[in-house]
Amino acid sequence: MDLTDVLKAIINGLVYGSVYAIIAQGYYITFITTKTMNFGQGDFVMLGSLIGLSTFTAITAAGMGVWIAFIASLLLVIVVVGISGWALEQVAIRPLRSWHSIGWILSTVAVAMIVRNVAMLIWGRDVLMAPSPFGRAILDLGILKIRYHEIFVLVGAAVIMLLLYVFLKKSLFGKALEAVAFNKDAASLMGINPRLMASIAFIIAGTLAGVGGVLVGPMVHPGAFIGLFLGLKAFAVAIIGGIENPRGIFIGGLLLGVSENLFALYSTSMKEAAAFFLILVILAVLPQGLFGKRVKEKF
Amino acid sequence: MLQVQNLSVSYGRASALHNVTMEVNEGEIVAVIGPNGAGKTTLLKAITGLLKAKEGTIRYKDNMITGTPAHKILGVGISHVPQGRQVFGDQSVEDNLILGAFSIKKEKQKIQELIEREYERFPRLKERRWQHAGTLSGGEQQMLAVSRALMSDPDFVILDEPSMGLSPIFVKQIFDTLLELKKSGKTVMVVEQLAMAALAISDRAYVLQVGEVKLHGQSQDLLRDDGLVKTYLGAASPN
Repeated sequence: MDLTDVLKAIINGLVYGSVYAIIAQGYYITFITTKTMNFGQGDFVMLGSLIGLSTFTAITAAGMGVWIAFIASLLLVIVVVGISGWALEQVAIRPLRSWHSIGWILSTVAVAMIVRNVAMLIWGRDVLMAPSPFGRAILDLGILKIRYHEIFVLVGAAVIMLLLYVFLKKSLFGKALEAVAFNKDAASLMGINPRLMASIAFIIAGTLAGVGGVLVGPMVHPGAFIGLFLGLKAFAVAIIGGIENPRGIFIGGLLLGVSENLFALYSTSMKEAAAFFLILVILAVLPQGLFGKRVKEKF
Repeated sequence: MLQVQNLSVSYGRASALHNVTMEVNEGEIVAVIGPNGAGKTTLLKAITGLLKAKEGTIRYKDNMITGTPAHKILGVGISHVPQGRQVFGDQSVEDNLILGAFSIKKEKQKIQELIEREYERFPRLKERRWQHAGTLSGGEQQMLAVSRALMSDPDFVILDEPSMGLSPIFVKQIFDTLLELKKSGKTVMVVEQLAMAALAISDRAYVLQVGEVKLHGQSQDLLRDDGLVKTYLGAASPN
């Protein structure tokens, strides 16, 4: 192992980590508005990458350019997985919330299983090859070679998270979402409809999962089973970063991505353990997560 | 302006409000007083749709508003300052005010004017405009809660124990604000535990006890009634 390997592992980690972070923002946004989340978020990512893959292949096979194909597949994924997020909230979460139960955990897991099995019927059990609009082009920096797709993912993820952050903190809509999260009754007295906000939160979460799927597809050989590990890692990221802190989630994502790739330098089987090792260490020292929120309400 | 008729509300099987009938006329300040657990907050929550009525009707300006969900109540012109202030602690003072104008979101210019008007009403809020609402003192939070409720320019303002946990200076300031609101043509309904102070500023009052209206009348008459304090409010009323 030399320095190039370490550098390569770090870059790789940042690329994967930024995808985990996008997916994890979906947990964040529904958790702050409804105190629930989709435990099948990973399978929505899988859905995004497979729908993206099929659309991309179909359009390029019809002789159109790769960028038209990429943008069309991205838009289709946003619509389909966004609507799936909305439907999930209607079917699996809203009816169970009034019970003061955690029934929504099992119901979202059930939806995830259905999605996974339907995907298996459509796309089969094997892993597939997802082409990137950049093909297999590589940026050669001498000591370091990076695929253009990886740079694209890194930049794209950063832009998406910046947009999300600005949307949440600066727009009236984002302020209303945050108000519902803080106090549902008080928010409704302002004329804000909490049910509508819950729907919007799940649509955004679905969209983030779908976009994450399109970005990660060309890096992972997508298949019907990839949702489980992506969802689990994104969940780990949300816990590490502090589930109520979008900046923490971003940093947590990069941290997990980099550390699992550094672990992989020693042994590939250690790679999968990295996430859980990191959770154990961080939660032992900081139970709120890295950037967990301090309670500061006044009575 | 507001007519509540035979209103009953219960939490599960426990009855909280029983057959309450009351009304508020345009331009009045009406106080609802009574001891802890009398159902005062329940009454307000039922009016603004935070709780479901079991029986009875609520009418506002000739419209039936029974069962209207809370987020649509501002649209008919009623604004509710909830008990315990309930400002959005994670957001700035100014964002709290902007959220108060959520129902008129399209008119940026108008919102800016309303914000300035509220800063004039409570200059303290302007000093703290970029601070998180959760870091304000109790009195400042109450000012913010009142200002936030006025951002939609409602005709009818409902306040739930605005004096709770405040020092006498802040209590006076909030009660003076209610009188100003009345002067500017708004109608006010205020729930209070500080019975004497509430009677002093209101036109009429209702005395609530264990979920029923026990007494109502002109506030001046109720103030002169020595029996009132002893019978319904407990002898040791602070004012």
